[in-house]
Amino acid sequence: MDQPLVLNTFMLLTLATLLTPIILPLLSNNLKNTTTTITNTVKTSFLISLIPMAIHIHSGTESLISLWEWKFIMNFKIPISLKMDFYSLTFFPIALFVSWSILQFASWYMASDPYITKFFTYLLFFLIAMLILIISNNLFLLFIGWEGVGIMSFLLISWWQGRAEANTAALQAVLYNRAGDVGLILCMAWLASTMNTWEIHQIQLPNQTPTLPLLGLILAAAAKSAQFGLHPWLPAAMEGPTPVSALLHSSTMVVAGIFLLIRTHPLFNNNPTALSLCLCLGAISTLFAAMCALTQNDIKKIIAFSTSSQLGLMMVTIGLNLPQLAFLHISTHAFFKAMLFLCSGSIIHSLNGEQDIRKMGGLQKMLPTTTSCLTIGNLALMGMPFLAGFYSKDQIIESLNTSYLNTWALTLTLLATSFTAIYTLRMTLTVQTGFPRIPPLAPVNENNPAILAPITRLALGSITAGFLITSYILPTKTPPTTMPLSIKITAIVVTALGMALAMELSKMTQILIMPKQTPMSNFSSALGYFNPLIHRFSTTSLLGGGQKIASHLVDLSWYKLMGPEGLASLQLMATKAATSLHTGLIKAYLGAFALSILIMIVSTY
Amino acid sequence: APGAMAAYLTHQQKVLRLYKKSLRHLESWCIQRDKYRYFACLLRDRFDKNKDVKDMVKATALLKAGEEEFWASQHPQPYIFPDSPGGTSYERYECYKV
Repeated sequence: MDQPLVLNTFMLLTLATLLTPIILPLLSNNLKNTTTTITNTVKTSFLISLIPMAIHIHSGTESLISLWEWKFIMNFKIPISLKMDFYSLTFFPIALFVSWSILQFASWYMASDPYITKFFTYLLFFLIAMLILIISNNLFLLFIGWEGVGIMSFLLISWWQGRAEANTAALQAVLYNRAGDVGLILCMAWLASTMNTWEIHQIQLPNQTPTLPLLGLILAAAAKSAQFGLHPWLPAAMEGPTPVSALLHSSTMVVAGIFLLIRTHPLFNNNPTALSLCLCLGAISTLFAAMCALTQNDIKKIIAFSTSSQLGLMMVTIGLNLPQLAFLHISTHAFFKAMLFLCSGSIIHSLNGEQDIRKMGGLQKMLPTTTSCLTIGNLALMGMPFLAGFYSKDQIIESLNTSYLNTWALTLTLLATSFTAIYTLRMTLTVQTGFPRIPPLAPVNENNPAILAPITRLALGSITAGFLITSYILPTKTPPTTMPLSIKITAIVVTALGMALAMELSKMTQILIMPKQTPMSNFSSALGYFNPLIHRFSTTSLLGGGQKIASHLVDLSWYKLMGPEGLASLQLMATKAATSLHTGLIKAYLGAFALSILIMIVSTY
Repeated sequence: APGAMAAYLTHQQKVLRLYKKSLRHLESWCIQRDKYRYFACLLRDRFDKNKDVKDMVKATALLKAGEEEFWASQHPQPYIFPDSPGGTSYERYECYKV
C-alpha cells in the first residue's frame, strides 16, 4: 500500500468534506444548510481524519505535497504546500473532535438564536481556516489561515453586535492580533530575502539565526497566544457566546501562535537569546494570568485566564527547546479546556444567563453530569496524576526543574501552578458545593443529549488523551531519565499546597469576619491595572503626539517660524539692534551724503 | 406628571440609595447567605441608630460620612444582574429587535 498516497488522499478528503456545506448551498436552492448537516459534516470529517493518524502511528509515514505554485517572480515561488507530519496528523483529529462536540453543544446552546445557521457557518469557516494553518508548509498559506482565524474571531466575538462591550472586545482582539501580524510579516520578509523561500522545511541555518526575525515570530505568537503585554483581548473575548469561547479561545485559535513557534523551531534551536526570551515571557504570562484569575467572579473569565496561564506554560516549553512537549500540552489542553467551557455553558444556560459564581452553589445535586465533568476537567487542569493534563504538565515542570536554565522562570512557573490549583478549587467549591445561592425558579436542566454527549465525550478525552498520545508517540528529544525525588514530585507538591490553601481560604469565607479591599486583592481584581494604563496611555500619547506634531511642529514651526515669521523676527532682531546705532537726523545724513559725493567728484579731478 | 422623578433627591431618597447599594456590595463581599444576613443586620442597625436625627446639618454630615465609608469599602467587582447595565446579557438582543 502506498502509504503517503493514502495519507494525502484522506487528509485532502477531510478538508474537502468540510468544504461541502459551503459549496453545496451555492449549487442548488434545495441544499440549504442546517445545524445538523454541519455537525454531521464535522463528525464525518473527524472520522475520516482518524485514518491518516492511524497510519502515521502505525508506520511513521509523513508526507509533503505541493498543490499549486504561484509563480510570483522569477526567483521566488510560492507553492501551496501541505505538510502531513506528526503535528498536523495528530492535531486534525483532536481539533475536529473538539469542534464536533462544540457544534453539537451549540445546537442546544444557541437554539433560541434566529441566525443559528449563520453561526454554525462562521464556526465552520473558522475551522477550515484553522486547519489550513495547521497543515500548511508554506508561511504564506499559514498567514492566510492566521488572518482567517483572526477575522472569524472578530465576527464571532461580536456575534451579539447590539452589545457595546462585544464590539469593543472584538475590536480589541483584531487590533492585538494585528500587532502580532507585524512580527510575522517581518519574519517572512527576512526569510524571503535571506533564504528565498517561505517553505518551512527549507528554513534551516547552520549557525546562529539573527535574533530580529525570531523576535518577529515571538511577537506574532505573543499576540495570538495572549502572552503578557498583548493579553487583554483574551478575557475580553469572553463576550462571545460560550461555544465560541470553547472553540476559539481555548482549544484552537489561541494555540496558533504556539503552533507557529513549533513549526519554525529549527530557527530557534541555535539562538539562546530567543529561547530565553520565550522562557521568561512564558513564565511572566503564566504567573500574571494565574494571579488575575484568583479574584475573578465570572466563571468564563476564570477559565479564560486559566487558558492564558496554560498558554504561558506552553511558551515556557518552547523556551526549553521542547516543541513536541508543547504540542502534547496543546493537545491535552484542548480536551479539558473545551470541556470546562461547555460545562460552564450548561451551567450558565440552566441559570438563565447567570455567569457570576457568587450566585451559583450546590449545583452538584442539580446538574450531576455537568458538575462531574467540571470536576474532571479541573483535576486534569491541575495536573492530577494520570489524567490528561498530568502527562504534559508534569513533564514540562520536570524538564524545567532539571534544566540549567533560568531559575527565576522556574519559580514563577511553580507559583503559577499552585495558583492554578487555588483558583480551580475555588471555582469548583463555589460553583458546585455549599448551599444553593441561585434564584429559586432557575430552569436547571441537563436532560438533553445535545449537552450530555459532547461533555461526556470530552471528559473521556480529558481522561485518556494524555495516556494515549504518550503511549503511541516517541519523543524526539530524550526526556530527563533520572532526577532526585524532591524534583520529581515538585509539581504535585506545589499543586497539593495550592489545594490545601484553597480549602483553608474557603473555610475562612464562612467565618463571620468582614472581608475588605487589600492592595494585592485589588491588583488581582483590576487585572494588574494593565488595561486602563496601556489602553489609555498609549492612545492619549499617540493622539496627543499627533496633535502636537500637526499643530506645533508643522503649523507653527515649519510653516511659520521657518518661513515668513522666522525671517520677519530675524529682521526685527537686526533692526532693533541697529536702531540704537543711528540718531535719525535726516538733514545731517543728506548733508554728509552730498559732502562725500562732492569730495569724491573733486578728488577725481 | 404625578409619579415622575424630581430634579433633586430628597434626604430620604439619598439615605435609602446609600443603604441599598451598600447592601448590594455587602452581598458581593459576603457570598454565603448566613454571613451576609449577619452583616446586613449589623448594617441595618447602624442606619437605624441615626434614624431619628432631626438636625439636617448633622444628618447630611452623617450621610456624607456614610458615602465616604461606602466608597472606601466597596467591592471592586460588584455583582451586577445579567440584564442590568454592565451585566453580561445587557443589550444582548438589541441586534434582533426590529
